[in-house]
Amino acid sequence: MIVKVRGVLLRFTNYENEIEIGGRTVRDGLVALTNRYPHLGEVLLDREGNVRATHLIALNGEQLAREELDREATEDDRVDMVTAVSGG
Amino acid sequence: MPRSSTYEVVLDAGLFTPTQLQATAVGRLGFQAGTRWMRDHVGSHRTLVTRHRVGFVLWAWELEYDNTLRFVDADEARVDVRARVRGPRSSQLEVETTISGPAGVAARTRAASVPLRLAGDRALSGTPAGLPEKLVAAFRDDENERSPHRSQVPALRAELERNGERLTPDPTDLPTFRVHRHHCEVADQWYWAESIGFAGGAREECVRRHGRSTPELRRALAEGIRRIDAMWLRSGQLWDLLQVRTTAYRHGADIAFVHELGLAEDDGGGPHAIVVERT
Repeated sequence: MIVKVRGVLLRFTNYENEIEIGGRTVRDGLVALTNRYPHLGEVLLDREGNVRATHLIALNGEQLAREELDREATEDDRVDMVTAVSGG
Repeated sequence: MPRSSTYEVVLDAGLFTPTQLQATAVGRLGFQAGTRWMRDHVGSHRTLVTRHRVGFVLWAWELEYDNTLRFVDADEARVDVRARVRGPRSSQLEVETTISGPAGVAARTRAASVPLRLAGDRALSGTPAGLPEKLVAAFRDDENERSPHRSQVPALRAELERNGERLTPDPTDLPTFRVHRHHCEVADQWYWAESIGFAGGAREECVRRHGRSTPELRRALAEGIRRIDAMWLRSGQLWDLLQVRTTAYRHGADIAFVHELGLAEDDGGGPHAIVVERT
């Protein structure tokens, strides 16, 4: 799958905004991604390893709820990762 | 009586257009003023974020220019600022600021922010929440208003669409602006005042394109804008490519510009901000 990283999260992927990542499901892809970019994992995931509610994950434009992250994703699928709002 | 903070700012040429304070400069001065009021009476912005895990995101702003203040008029201006909590669940922070020169109040602004409960991550991500009780307690009774602040933008836009005379055709080839780091605040999210600048840039582009066929549009540059109302719906972020859809109206004696800011590549999430400028 191709993960598109936007804005607030870019500095945690060393400013790579389009990242090819392997995995059978969206969750697999996020695990692989946070393994590759540990600082992103610290921001994206809570202590239990769940995606924080403050970040939105979408598969081909469809926003996924936490329990939908096990949706299958092929190498051509696009996963968008967005921080809804920050409080600077 | 609600508490105020009052101080002086030195005026430099970068704050001005040829005729008045730049709108983005007024926005920055107003945000600085609100930050100062909070530091003086409640807690510094830094400690709110780092210790209380409370952030703020602006969602509505009004600017009204009043008496003339040009670069040549004064060496400094006086800033007066007050703030209060609004909403039945303390879900808004409203800041009112005036910037005054020798002729009196030059610009007055009202800004409404939504408090965020920060998740605690380095991205400062957060979700809207009421202001925590211990912070609400730092406001006096007369600084706590149970009725919410309401943006005038939806009604204003509807009025212009209903009763205004449209001066520009359906816009095509929309101007685009990319959000770069110098447009952002600490979290790599656009600094809201910069989006006022993007709207102002789109107005200039509108005048540049249509000023020959509709010369009265040039008034908006020659005489300046007298009033801005803005409402934010989503945050722009670092490297986002935005487009601005601008429609100009004649409404009574005013020329009005309605700017809709959104992603150039539509993601179905709707516009990021609506900015209405009036002469």
